[in-house]
Amino acid sequence: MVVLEYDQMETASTSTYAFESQTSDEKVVFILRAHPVTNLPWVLVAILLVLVPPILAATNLLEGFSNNGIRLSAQNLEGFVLIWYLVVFAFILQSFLHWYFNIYILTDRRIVDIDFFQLLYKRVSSAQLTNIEDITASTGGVFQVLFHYGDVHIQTAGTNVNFEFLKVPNPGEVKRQIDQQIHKLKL
Amino acid sequence: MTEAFAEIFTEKNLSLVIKAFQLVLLGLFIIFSLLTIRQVDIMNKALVTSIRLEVRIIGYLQLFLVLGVFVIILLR
Repeated sequence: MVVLEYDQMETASTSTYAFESQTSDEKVVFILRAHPVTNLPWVLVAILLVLVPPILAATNLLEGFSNNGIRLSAQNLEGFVLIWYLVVFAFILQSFLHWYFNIYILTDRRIVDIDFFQLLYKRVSSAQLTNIEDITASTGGVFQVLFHYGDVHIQTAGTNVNFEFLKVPNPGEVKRQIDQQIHKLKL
Repeated sequence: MTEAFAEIFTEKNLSLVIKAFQLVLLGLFIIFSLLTIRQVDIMNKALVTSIRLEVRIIGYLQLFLVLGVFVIILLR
């Protein structure tokens, strides 16, 4: 199966993807996730967290604790530093996993939204293309204009769930592709 | 009473209390790491990607790192 990945849409790199509820004759048109630049906040936080122990050591802030009567042994301090870096590692891993596996899929029949939140919660929503009534692509703000990403709002018929593809690269092209698939189905 | 308390609360004992606290934290971290491995499995099942093996290895790496730090702190 060949999949267009929108974060490299121009090069249209080919990768092998499959998803859980996919039927054998269902063809994936594209798999989308939030633009890579949306990872910038957590990457910056991670860099700051990595720098905390060396900064504390360099500025002798821990000496202040000792002067106030709390005396940590070198072994205790090293233990806390090791635990700190484990926490940073876990933070980076969780942030990456949530970015990488929260995806939006367009197939030749439906759209699928796979969301993971907290540690073990998963939500999979899908809607048939024939139930889609309205698609709106929007871009706004300095970052979104600069890096060419935005939101795609998909309204479905009746009481079905509406979809939001948030912070996806090239929202206009995403809208065009969905429109095209709907048009193909109607022919 | 205060003197007796001060004797119990020596620097060595404080160090042991902190060590115990760190081990409890790491115990919780081991549970978290096991949950992360399960989480990665669920994610890999939901979406099969080209990096599924690497993600799985990183999940286990986290567990082994936590176990390693647990043993280091325990044995010191």
